[in-house]
Amino acid sequence: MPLKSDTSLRPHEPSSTETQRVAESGPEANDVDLLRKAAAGDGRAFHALVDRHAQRMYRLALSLVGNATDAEDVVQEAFAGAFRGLSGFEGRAAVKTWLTRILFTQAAKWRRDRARRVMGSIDAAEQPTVEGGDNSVAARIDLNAALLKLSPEHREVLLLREFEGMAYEEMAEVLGVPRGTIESRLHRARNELRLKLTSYAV
Amino acid sequence: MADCSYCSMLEAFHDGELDAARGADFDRHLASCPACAADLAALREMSRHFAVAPVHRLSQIGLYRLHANLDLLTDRGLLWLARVLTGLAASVLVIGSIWLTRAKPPTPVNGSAISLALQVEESVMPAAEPNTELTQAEASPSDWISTELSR
Repeated sequence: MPLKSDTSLRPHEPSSTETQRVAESGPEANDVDLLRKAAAGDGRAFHALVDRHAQRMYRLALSLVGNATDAEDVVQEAFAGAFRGLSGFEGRAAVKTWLTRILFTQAAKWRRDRARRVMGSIDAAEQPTVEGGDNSVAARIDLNAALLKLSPEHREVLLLREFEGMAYEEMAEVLGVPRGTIESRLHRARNELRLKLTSYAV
Repeated sequence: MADCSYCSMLEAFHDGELDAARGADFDRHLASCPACAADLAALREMSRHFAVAPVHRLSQIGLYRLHANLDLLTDRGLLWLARVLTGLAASVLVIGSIWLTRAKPPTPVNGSAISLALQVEESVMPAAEPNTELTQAEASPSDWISTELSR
């Protein structure tokens, strides 16, 4: 069911700030409440949900795809997919988990499309670079560059664990694999990343 | 890498995935196993890299685009609904028009109640002088009805 378009909350209006949207949706409204309201046709609730998760999703997307433009596209597609699948949310998983799973699906789709476009392996020259950053030691070591050299599966588990702080069960839910797979994948990913970071530090 | 019976629990311990009893057990083991302690320190160092990594934020313009595109999506949904409803209305109109043009007009029935009523009226009412200036609307209803039915 399409949501009502609420012109009073269009982002180009000066009053439609993030805090206002969340406040208008009710300070006590949690993600599930917002999602249910959005599914019932409340456009403001969906915008509030976007405000709550946009930055987190963008950070993940940037680490998954490696550049700001594509990360924004992936986040965009993820929210569009979430919007289309609002009625399909059964509440078995947390909204955060549900959105993250959609984001990872979109990122995988982006990888497939990109692989078709370049028709070849991703070499270092093609590796996208993450913009921004500071002069901290961590930034110089360039964690993101090291992450981008990992396989997508290894990158995903590390991001979910280290950036999102997800438990193994939650990660298993996002990635659709058994918990045991998460544990072994995380172990291999950490070993691989340790080697990459060591080579950067040298 | 530590090579003891506890090393398989190292990452689970680091990630807080061990229950309280096993966590406490592993904690005691750490005091007596320098290899596990060193591995744990390496894990913590790696996590520290993530913790202090620069946080890349979506710009305000990016957030604006996100919301604007979602509005477009909702508008597209409404547009689709409007198109469906318009199509349905147009279909009803076309089908109704065709049905009306093909429907046969009703034929007057001889000896019907209307004809009988007209005959009674003519016999009771005095014959009015023909007024050629009367319009169809001004003519008596019975005349108009009989004319329409005979068409």
